[in-house]
Amino acid sequence: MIYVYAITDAMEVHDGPSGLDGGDVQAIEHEGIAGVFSTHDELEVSSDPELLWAHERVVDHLMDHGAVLPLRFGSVLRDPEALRVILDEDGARFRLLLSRVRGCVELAVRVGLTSSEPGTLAGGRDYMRERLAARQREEDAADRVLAPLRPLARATAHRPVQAGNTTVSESYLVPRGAVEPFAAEVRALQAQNPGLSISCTGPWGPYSFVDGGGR
Amino acid sequence: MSPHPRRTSPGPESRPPPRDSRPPSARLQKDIALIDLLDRLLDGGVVLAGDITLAVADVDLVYVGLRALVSSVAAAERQGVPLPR
Amino acid sequence: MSFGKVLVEPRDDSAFPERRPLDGALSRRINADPEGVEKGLAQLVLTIVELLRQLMERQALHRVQLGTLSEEEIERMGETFMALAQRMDELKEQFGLDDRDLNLDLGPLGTLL
Repeated sequence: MIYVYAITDAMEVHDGPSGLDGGDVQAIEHEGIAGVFSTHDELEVSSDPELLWAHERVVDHLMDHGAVLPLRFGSVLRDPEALRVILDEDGARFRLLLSRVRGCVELAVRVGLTSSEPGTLAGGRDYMRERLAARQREEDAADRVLAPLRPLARATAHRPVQAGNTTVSESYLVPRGAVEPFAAEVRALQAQNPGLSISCTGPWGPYSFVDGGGR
Repeated sequence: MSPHPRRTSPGPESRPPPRDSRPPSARLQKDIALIDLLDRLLDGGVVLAGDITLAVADVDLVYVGLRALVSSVAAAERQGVPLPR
Repeated sequence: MSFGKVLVEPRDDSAFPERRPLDGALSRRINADPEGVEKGLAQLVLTIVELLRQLMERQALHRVQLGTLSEEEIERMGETFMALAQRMDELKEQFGLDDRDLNLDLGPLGTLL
């Protein structure tokens, strides 16, 4: 079996970190794009932080050398040929996505809001209405607080957090050179909003911008 | 591909710490980094997976596209590659 | 690795509701010993149901926002989601499970949260 990390146009996948379970990172190329994987006889794919960070380390290294479409964690195929077939069948879509993310990284921003309790509800429409209102409150807060960040990014994606929650989570596709100014803007927003808890993590691979073009 | 010794890349630890006047809260940082990582790895990225349609009250809501393993077998068959049965 | 990824540290973890249940939940395995099998199965099934319920509710809200649903459809969906949520609460109570127990590690499917 092979464990797949990413699809990339980087042609240098060697001399980088090892993959899950210390596996050697290899690549199979097809018409200018490569699928990056490691081979295993056995691999227990669980949400073990060691494995998660190993996956991200490989993705990060690839991002130093080209455009990268990171795969969702846990992508396993039968053999490299299966991966080559995917590169062949989906090549056009991958090339388009690669051009969208080229030169950029993903930055994650979260904002913690004050909570609100739903009241007692009379029926189905009331339930949906309340859920929708809560959703819109979150989006309004996101728009207001995080608006200054949008112009610094090539794209933005809203990430849903738990149902009925009081947290806003956004992803930003940011050119590498703009990462530090972006972080500085987040620090400024935090200073301007003492009642909120704002964080920024990254750089990550562009996970939120590669499947169906962003959520 | 020539074999090479396994080693990790220099990594972000070699970068200077964030410019912040408060002392770093190591555990908080570790947890939020892991949570943001999980969020992306488990809910983002290119998906090589399955077809399900979920419906509630007769309203179709979710369609997730299923492909890779099925397509690799189908493509191999088209190309006349003998597959173990 | 993890420290280098925090560019702006937050005041507190109020934006990270997953933080408390995270301890110990990541490597939790489904209970496979004979005594725990039934509870382990319930844990698995309810986790999947909860995952799907949240996914469907999210999609339904999107459709409501788009305005592509009739009043009747909205009413029916809302009733269904309410009933599902209530049934989930009942089942959780029946099997002695709480939200932390439902934050299962499902391997490649990831954790519920």
